[in-house]
Amino acid sequence: MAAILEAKGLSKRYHGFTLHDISLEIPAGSVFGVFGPTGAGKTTLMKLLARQIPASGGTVRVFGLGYEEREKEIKNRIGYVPQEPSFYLERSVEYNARFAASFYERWDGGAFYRMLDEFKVGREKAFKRLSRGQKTLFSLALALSHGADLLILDEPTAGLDVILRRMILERLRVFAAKEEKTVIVASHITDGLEDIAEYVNFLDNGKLVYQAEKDELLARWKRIHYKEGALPPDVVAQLTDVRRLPFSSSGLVRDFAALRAALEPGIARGEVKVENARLDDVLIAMHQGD
Amino acid sequence: MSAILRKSSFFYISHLCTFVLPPLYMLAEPRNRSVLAVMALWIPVWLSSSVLWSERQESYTFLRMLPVTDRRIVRTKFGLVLGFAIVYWLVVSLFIRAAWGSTPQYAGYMALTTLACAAALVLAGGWLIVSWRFGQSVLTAAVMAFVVTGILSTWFVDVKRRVRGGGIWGITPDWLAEAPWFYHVLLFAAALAAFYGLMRIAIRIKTRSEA
Amino acid sequence: MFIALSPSNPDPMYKQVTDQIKNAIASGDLKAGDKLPSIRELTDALKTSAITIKRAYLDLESDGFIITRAGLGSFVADIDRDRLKEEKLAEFRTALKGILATGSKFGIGAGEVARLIREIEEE
Repeated sequence: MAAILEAKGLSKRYHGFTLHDISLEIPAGSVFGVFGPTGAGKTTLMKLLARQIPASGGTVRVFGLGYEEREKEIKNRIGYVPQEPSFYLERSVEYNARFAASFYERWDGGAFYRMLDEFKVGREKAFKRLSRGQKTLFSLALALSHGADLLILDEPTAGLDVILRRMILERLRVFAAKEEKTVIVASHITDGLEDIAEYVNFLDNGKLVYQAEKDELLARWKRIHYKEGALPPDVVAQLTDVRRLPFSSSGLVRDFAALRAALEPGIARGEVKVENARLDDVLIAMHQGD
Repeated sequence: MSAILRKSSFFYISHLCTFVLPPLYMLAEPRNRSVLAVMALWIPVWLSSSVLWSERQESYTFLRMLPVTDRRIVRTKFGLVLGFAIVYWLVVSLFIRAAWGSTPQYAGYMALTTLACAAALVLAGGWLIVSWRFGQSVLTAAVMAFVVTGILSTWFVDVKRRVRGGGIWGITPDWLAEAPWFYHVLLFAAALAAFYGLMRIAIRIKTRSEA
Repeated sequence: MFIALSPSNPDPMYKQVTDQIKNAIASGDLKAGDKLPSIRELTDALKTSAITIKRAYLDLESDGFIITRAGLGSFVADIDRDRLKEEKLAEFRTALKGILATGSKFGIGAGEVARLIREIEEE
C-alpha cells in the first residue's frame, strides 16, 4: 500500500512545548488514529499534517506532493476538521458554506446541504449560534463535500453526546470504507475513535512513543488477573501496571504469545484469568513507562 | 479568491462612502471650503482604518483550511489596498479640480494629494505586515493611535497657508507648477516600488505566521 | 480466595462474585464456618458498588451457601459439596452441548470428544 502521507522529522517549537521529530507513513485507505493525553501535541500534529501552521523542521508530503509547491492542489483534496471551528461567526451557515465552496474545484453542494439537513443544522442560523456539536457537524459536512481523498480530524467527538458521536463515527466509517479514502484522526481514547482506528499511534509529550496496528496491539497486550503466588516471579517481573488488591492482583502483559506457556498452568488451575487489554490501559502503561 | 476580495472590499467601500459625504456637501456650499482643504490629509487615515476594519473581521484560520495559498491572499489584499489608494486619489483629484481647478493653488493641492496617497499606500502595506506579524490587537492599537493623531493633526496643520502657487511649502520644489506630471509620476512610481517591496516581505511573513 | 471482576465478561457482576465465591468454597480456599469479608471490605477490594456485593451475598444466602448473622457478618455454611458438584455439572452440560454442536459441523463425533477427554486425563 502506498503511503498517502509521509512525514519525516517533523517538529514544532513553541515557547513551552515542543513536538519532536515525528516521522509517519500513513497507508492509503486506512484509518490512522493518533491518541495521547491532553497536552501531548495531538492538535499541533494534526495542524502540521494539514499545513494549518508552518513546521519548525522536517517535511510533510501528501499524495506525493509537498506543501511548498502544491499547497492549493493538496488542500483541494484534503478535508480538515478542526477542534476549534474557526469560521465567520457573525455570518450565516449558508454564507460560510458558499464562501468555502467558491475555493474548491469539486464542490458538491447537493451532498453538503443533504448532510446539513440530516445533521439538522439550519442554513440561516448565524454560525456563532450553533452548538458545539453542530459546529463540528458543519465542519465535517464541509470536509466531506469537495471530493476529498484524505480527512484530517482533531478530536471530532470531544464533548459530544453519544448520539452525535455515533453519527460522526458512522460517517467516518462509511468514508473510510472506500479504498482510496484515508482518515487521520487525533483523539482521546474513550471518544469512540479507537473502535474505527486501524492503526494506533501514541503521542506523549511531543513524541511518538508507540505505533502499531490496532488488531495486533490488542492481540499482544492482555490484562491478566491472578491469585497472589500463582505466577512465578520472573513472569510477574514482566508485567506492567501491576495492581495488588486484597483478593486479586492484575497486570498488563506486553507480549501475550511469549508468556502464554508460562501462564497456561495457572489458567488451568483457575488462578489466572486473561482478558483483552483496553487501549487506554496500554496508553497509560506507555505514559508511565517513560 | 474573489470571495476574499468581495468580503474585504466591503469595508473599503463603506469607508469611501463616508469619505465623500463631507466634500460633496462642501461643494454644494462654495463659500465654505475649509474641509476640502484637508481632504488629502484624511486619505491615509481612511485607508488605514479600512485596513483595520477589514483585518478585524477576517478569519485566517478559516482561509488556511481552504485551497488558497498565503501568497494569493497577500496579493489580493495588497491589490485591494492599491486599488483603493488610486480610487481615493481620483476622487480627491476630482473634488480639488472642482474647487480650485482654475486657481494657482491647484498644483499645490494636487501635489499634497499625491503625496498623501503615496504615504497612505505605503502605510497600509505596513499595517498589513503588522497585522500578520504582531496580531490584531497590536494592529488595532497602532492604527487607532495613528487615526487619532491624523485627525488631530488636520486641526493644527493650516493647509491653506502651506499650499501656495507652486507646491507645498517645505515639502515640494518650486518648479512643481511648471512640471507637475514629473512629480506625480515619480512619487507614484516610488510609492509603488516601496509597496511592492512590502508585499514581498508580507508574503514571507504571512507564510510563517500562525495568526 | 481469588476474585477478579471482568467488565468484558457477559455475566453480570454480582454473578461473577457468586461464581467465584462458590469456586473458592469448592477448592477449599473457603471452609465451612470461615468468615467472609464484610460488604464494605469486598466493595472496596473489588472496586465495585455495594449494591453488587449485597446482591451477591443475598443470592449466596438464598442458595444456602452462606449464612448472615446480624451484627456479626456472613459465614460460609456447611457446604453441600454435592450441590456444588451438581451446579458445575449443569454448567458443563451446557458447555459440552456447545462443543458437540460445533464438533458435528467439523465431522467430530461425541466418541472422538470422549477420546480427547481421556487423552487429556492421561497427560
